[in-house]
Amino acid sequence: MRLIFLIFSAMGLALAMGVVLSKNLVRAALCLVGFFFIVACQFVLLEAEFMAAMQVLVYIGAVAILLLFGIMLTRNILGDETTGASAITKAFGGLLSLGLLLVLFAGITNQKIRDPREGSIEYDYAKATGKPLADPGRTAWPDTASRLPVEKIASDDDDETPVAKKKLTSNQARKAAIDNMGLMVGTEMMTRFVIAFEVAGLLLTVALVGAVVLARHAGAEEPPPGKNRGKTAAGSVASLNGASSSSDPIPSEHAGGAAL
Amino acid sequence: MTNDIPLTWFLYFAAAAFSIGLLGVLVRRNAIAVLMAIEIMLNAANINLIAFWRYVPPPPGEGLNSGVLLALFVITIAAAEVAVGIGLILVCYRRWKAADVDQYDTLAG
Repeated sequence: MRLIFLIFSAMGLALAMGVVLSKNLVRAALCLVGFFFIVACQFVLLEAEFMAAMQVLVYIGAVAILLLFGIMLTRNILGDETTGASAITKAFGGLLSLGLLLVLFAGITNQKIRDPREGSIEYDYAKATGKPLADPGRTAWPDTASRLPVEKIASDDDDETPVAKKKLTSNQARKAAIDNMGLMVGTEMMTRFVIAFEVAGLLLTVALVGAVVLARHAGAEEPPPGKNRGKTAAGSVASLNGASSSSDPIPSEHAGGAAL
Repeated sequence: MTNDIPLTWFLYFAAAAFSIGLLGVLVRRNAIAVLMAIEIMLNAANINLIAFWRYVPPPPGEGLNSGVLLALFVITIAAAEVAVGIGLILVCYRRWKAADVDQYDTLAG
């Protein structure tokens, strides 16, 4: 398992570097598609297969295609990346991201398992007498390799009730949360996260309408369909007669007035 | 499981991917390449969320799938953001005939 993770991580980081460093935009987009797939593989390693499927569907199926269409529609006439960043910008960017990397690595490596109630009287008393604290609270991240264990009880095999109706004791609930993730995500989306769900729907609608409004061609004013139909025919005949009969010394003003 | 992947390995991978994304945002001059680097950063944050969901017991009041749902909402927001971003880049492209962030400087001093 660890070897698989290391291979996937190496490929993922190489693909991310490919996105950032490649001069050809299409190659960068394809490296991004590969990175999305590696992230989906990581989700499978984390036993969240539902999220892996969603990742492939939404990111590779929609976001990457949208980015490729954007690349197609905004090609530089002279070629890709006509202006690169200056050397100072590159150095500054490299320094900043390296600094962030080091800070994050230091934080992950040196996470201290420190009880947040350290200064209080109960803590000192418990430490002095050796008795455990009443509420153990939450400790830091598990530093050894251990996932939340999900044991299989022997009686799970005979249990015929469907998942949604099971009385959720803690082990059954945890097992259902991982094995039947689609169902549990749907249930939670409708009960605990319903407001977030509706707000996300609203945001998607706003984004859709906004993108359509933005991408409409500038200045394409369609005449209202019903109003001008009769007028246009009469107007065109009248303008033809007017243009042919009158020899305008200033044709542009007339044309401008007619257009308005 | 004795051969299980430690939690910190996932966090290292996510941190490295996030830093690479940050490098892309700062260094690349094409607007769509900047969007791609932002997507890398969002995916790294998602890996973080799912890793903590799997490895760390949830607080007493929370549901069992909160990490998964939070990552799902991040995916939703990222997709909407890319759509609007591409629309904006198209408008800017029509105006300046280039998708170069150095040229989008009308508001600059």
